[in-house]
Amino acid sequence: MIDRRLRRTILGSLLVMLFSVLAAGTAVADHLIVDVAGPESAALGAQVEIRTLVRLAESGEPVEGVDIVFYSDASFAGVAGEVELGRVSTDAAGVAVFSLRLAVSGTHAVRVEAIAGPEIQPESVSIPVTVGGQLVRSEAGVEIPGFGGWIVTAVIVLVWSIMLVAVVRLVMLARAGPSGRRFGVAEGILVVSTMVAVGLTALLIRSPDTHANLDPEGYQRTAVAFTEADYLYPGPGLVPSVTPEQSVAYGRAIFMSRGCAGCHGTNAEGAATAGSPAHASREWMGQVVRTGLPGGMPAYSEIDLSEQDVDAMFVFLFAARSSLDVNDLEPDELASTTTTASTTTTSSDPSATSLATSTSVTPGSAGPTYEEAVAPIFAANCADCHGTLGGWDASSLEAVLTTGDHAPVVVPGDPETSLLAQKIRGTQTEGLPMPPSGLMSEEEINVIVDWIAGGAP
Amino acid sequence: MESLTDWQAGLEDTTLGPTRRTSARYYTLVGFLIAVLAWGIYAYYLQVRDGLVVTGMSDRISWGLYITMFVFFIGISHAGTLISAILRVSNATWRTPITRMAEFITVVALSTGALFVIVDLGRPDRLIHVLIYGRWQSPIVWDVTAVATYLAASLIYLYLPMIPDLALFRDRMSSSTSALKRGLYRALSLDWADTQQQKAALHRAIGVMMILIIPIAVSVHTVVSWIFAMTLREAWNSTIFGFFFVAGAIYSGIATLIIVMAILRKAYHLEEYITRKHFQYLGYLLAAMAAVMIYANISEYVTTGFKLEEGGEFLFRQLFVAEFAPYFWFYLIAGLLLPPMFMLIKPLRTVGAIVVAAIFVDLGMWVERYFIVVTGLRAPLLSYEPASYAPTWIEWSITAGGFALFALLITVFVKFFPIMAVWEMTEERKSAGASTSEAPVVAGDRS
Repeated sequence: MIDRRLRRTILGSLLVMLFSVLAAGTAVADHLIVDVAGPESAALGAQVEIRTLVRLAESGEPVEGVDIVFYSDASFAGVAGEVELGRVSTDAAGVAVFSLRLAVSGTHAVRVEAIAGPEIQPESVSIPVTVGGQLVRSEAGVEIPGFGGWIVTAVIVLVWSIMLVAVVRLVMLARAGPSGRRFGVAEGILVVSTMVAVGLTALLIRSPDTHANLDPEGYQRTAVAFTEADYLYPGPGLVPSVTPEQSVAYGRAIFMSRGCAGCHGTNAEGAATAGSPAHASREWMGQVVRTGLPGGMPAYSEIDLSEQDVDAMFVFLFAARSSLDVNDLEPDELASTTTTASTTTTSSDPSATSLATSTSVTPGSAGPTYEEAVAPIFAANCADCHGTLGGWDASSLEAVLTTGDHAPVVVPGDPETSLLAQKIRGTQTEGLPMPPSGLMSEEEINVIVDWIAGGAP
Repeated sequence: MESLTDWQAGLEDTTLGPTRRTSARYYTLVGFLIAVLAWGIYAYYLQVRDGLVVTGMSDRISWGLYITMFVFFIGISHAGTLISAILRVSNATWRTPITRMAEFITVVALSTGALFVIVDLGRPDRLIHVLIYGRWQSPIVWDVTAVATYLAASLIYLYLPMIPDLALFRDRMSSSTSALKRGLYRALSLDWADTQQQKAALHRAIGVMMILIIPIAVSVHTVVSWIFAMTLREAWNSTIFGFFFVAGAIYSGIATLIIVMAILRKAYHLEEYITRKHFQYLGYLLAAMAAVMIYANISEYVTTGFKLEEGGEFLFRQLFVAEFAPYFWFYLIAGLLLPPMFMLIKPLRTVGAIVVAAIFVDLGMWVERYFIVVTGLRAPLLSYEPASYAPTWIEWSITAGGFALFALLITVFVKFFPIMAVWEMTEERKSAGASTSEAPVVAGDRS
């Protein structure tokens, strides 16, 4: 029961709401008045012009540049609704004209909506347009009295009855034999065929009239699309459902189900459309799957592909390395999925890579030159792709300075604006940091940056 | 003219021959077929384990070789209905030596074809869902119902006229016959003693079934065609699809019967019973069905091609001039136009030439099934690029396994069951002898 207190609360709320609405109404700077004019009736298929005039409610002056959206009622495949016909902006006189052809007879509600901007409320007006004509148009589905599933059932019952008559003859034939046996093959056939007949009839009789595919109880449907949950092909019991999330099979399933295999091959071996991602580092993979790559690699949101999924895929890709012989990383690196490729070192431990020490610039020299210091770094870190795959070419000084989709990537004397320096430092604003397997050591980066700062000799 | 009893003894000996003697070549053949089948089963195991991703089918072209095989084998299964039932109803006496083979083919082809529907399923364990959740409005349910009915009817129809022959086998068993075969023939011959009462029951049962099976067979391939025609696809929007499929089914069914007949005739020396006449008559039927098929193709492609609506243009292009043109023209020329030529030219009406024509028919019809399935799905419904489909080795392996299964079942079947209807042939010969010696009586005895 509603007691007095509750009644008061409700009344109070309503009053607050009313005041809010009134306050909002005054807060809106202006209000539009939309006038719509059009023919009341039209011939089928004829051009109909709908004219709208948009004015400000207070001053009455026409408004230019208001978007007028024209809608018409429509129905398709048994679903009724409204379709957008088009949009026109008002001219200096506040007038927008839209012409349309109505191809279906009957009375149509043509609605226009004026959208002027965030501070002006949209206004909507409808006019009816009656279209004459003789177009025959039926609702979806024609009901024929007396027609229905019972006919199918009747046909099946008839056919099987006749067939059972023949089988009964078979039983009679067997019983007419000299030995007078009681139960044999003929009776067996009779029993089995009766059961099939009853089964098929039952299938038809108990078949639901509504669409059973929607969600019948107990029916486990293979989902058409997944947004969050991982879907793995469980198979009819041949493979155990994947529970150890870091298993190769699980990662492979992710790899397959996200469509990666379509371009990268079912074993990540690469295909004509895309290379093998097996040697990718976890970090690089984590970036590429989010950003995508020009040339077709799509970007996946975290809804489509969680970080755990990326971890799992990395396990699969890592396992694929050994079978593809593309990398000889130590298996213990698997333990840390964030470990990047083998060139990563820290500046506090410069002796970790002989490459870094050998190419370090000795203090007091004039600065690194391409031939002495930079070329070996490019050869070790870049030339595998750059020089073979197109785009920027790292194989010679001339190519380094002139080639690339964003050439020049080196602005001699200015490392900050050089795309090359940005990329190897990971400060670039577009694309990915390079190398994809993980940034180079600080020494190597510094050599290249110094080389650019020194005029890229 | 040799006496009737001598002739009958020779016939019995010939028919019993395969069950008595087994050559090394037979074992080699069976071994080979089992090997191919085993390879197909292994491929299927991989498919079940990894899912349909191992096939070339995808979201856009979701039917491929498997459905092609399904339609093709269901088509072949019409051999038995036409030769056996229609010729029995129309009292064509020349049919008797070949009806049994036609009925074999029906049952074996139908089982193989139905299997391919299951092979096409990504989750075969959910097959039962069609029985639990099926609705009568669904063409799949019509298909399941029609195929199940046809399989049952053709099994009964194969079995009924075989009972007297099984009794003959039972009676002719030698002491060396295995206990398995003895038990098999004793159980299956249903205590047949050739009494009047039994004969009457048999004739009535055959009489019911031979008429009933004709509409069932027609319904089966009509419903198979409706699986396509009830789908919103430009290539399948055809009102004559049911007729088209039934005609094609009978056409390929006759061709398969000719091929199987030629092989069995050669292998088991049936030349005395299956003569050039049988091949010629079947050849005439083949030519007649070719004419029907040619007419159906003209009717189909001229009407849609004359209007050539937007979607139809894409379909026409891929069939007549673009991607599928080699298949399509092979079907038209080698599959439809060439085979009747063999029958028109008199010197070519030899057994060998008719078998060659039949092979072309089967090849052509198989290719037709393939491009009907694939081109229909390939034509885009929206403005996207057309998809492509190429079968993977797994699909080819399973397909090869399907053909091997078909051949294997027939090979094993002839080892256990009479390949000719001895009693019908004997009765026919009796009545033929009676009609020549006594009065010009029409061989009205349907049996």
